[in-house]
Amino acid sequence: MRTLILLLLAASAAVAHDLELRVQAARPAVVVYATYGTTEPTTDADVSVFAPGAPSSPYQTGFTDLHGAFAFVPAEAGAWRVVIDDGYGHRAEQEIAVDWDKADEPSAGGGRSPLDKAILGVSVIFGITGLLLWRSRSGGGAS
Amino acid sequence: MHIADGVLPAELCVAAHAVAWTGVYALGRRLRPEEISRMGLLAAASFVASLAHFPLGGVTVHLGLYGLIGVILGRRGFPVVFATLLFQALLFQHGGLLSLGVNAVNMGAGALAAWGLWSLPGLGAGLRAFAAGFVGTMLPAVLMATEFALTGYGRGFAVLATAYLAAAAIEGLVTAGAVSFFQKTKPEILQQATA
Repeated sequence: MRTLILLLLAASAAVAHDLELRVQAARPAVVVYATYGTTEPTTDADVSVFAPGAPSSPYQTGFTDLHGAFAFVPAEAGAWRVVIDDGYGHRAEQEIAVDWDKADEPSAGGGRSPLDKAILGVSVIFGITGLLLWRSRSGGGAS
Repeated sequence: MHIADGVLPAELCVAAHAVAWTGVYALGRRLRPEEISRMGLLAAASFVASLAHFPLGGVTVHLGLYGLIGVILGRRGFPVVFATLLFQALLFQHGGLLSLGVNAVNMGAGALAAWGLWSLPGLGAGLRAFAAGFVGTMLPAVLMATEFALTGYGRGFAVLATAYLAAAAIEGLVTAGAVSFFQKTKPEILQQATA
C-alpha cells in the first residue's frame, strides 16, 4: 500500500511537470504558451522555431517570457515546428499549420486591408482634387 | 527609400519640414483648374504605383513615378510628391510623419530635376524622358545615402543607393514609355508643365 501511494505521488509529480504547449493564432503572429501541466507557466525556456522545409536550421530562436509565452511571425504558409526545452529535462514540440503568409498580414495601420487603404488613399486624393477644382472655379484660383 | 521616423536627427527632420512646406507653398500656389486635375491624377498614379513592391539587389523597391511627375507637372510636381508621401505615411507607414519633410525634399528634388532634364533643348524626347525617369529616382536615393552618411551611419548606404540603379533604369524606361504613349495619343499633355 505504501509503495502504491509513493508511485501515485511520483506519477502525480510527473504529470504536474509535463510540458504542455498551447498555440494561439494572432495574425500575423503565432503565440505559443508553454506550461507545466495546464497552469504553471514555463518561463525562460529555450525556444526554436523551424520553418516549413527547413527541419534542421532554426528560423528563429529565443526564450519564453514570464507567462511562458513566445511569439513569432511566420514568413510563409505551411507546417511550422516549435520546440521548447526548459533545460531541466522537459521538452515539447508541436507542429503548427499556418495558412497565411506575410502578403496578407494585417499591417500596423489597423484592420483595413492594403487594398482598402489604397482605395481610401486614391479616393481622398481625388476628393481633395475635386475640392480644389471647385474652389478654383468658384473663387477665382486655388492657392 | 522612405526614411522612417527616429532614424535621422530631429533637427534635420524639422529643418527639412520647413524646406518642404516652403516648397509646397512656393511651388504650389495659384493653381489653375487644368493643373489641379492633372496633379490629382498623377498623385493618385504615384500613390498606387508605390504600393507594388518588388525585391531588387537585397532591397525592396517600388515605382514612384517622380520622373513622370516632373515631366508632366513641372514645378507643380513638388507639392504632388509631398501629398503622395503624406498619404503613404498615413495609410501604409511608408516613411514617418516626422521624416516626411526629408522624404519630400529628397523625392521632390528628384521630380524637379526630372523636369529640368525634360526641359533641356536639343536632345530627343525618348532620351530626355529616360534621363528624367532615371534621375527622378536616383537623385532621391543619392540624397538619402548622403543624409545617412552625414548623420553618422557610415557609407554603407552609398552601397544601398547603388541598388537603386536598376530601379532608376526601370523608372527611366517607364517614363520613356509613358512619354512615347502621350506623344502618340495626347501630345499636349507634355507641353503643359508649369515653369
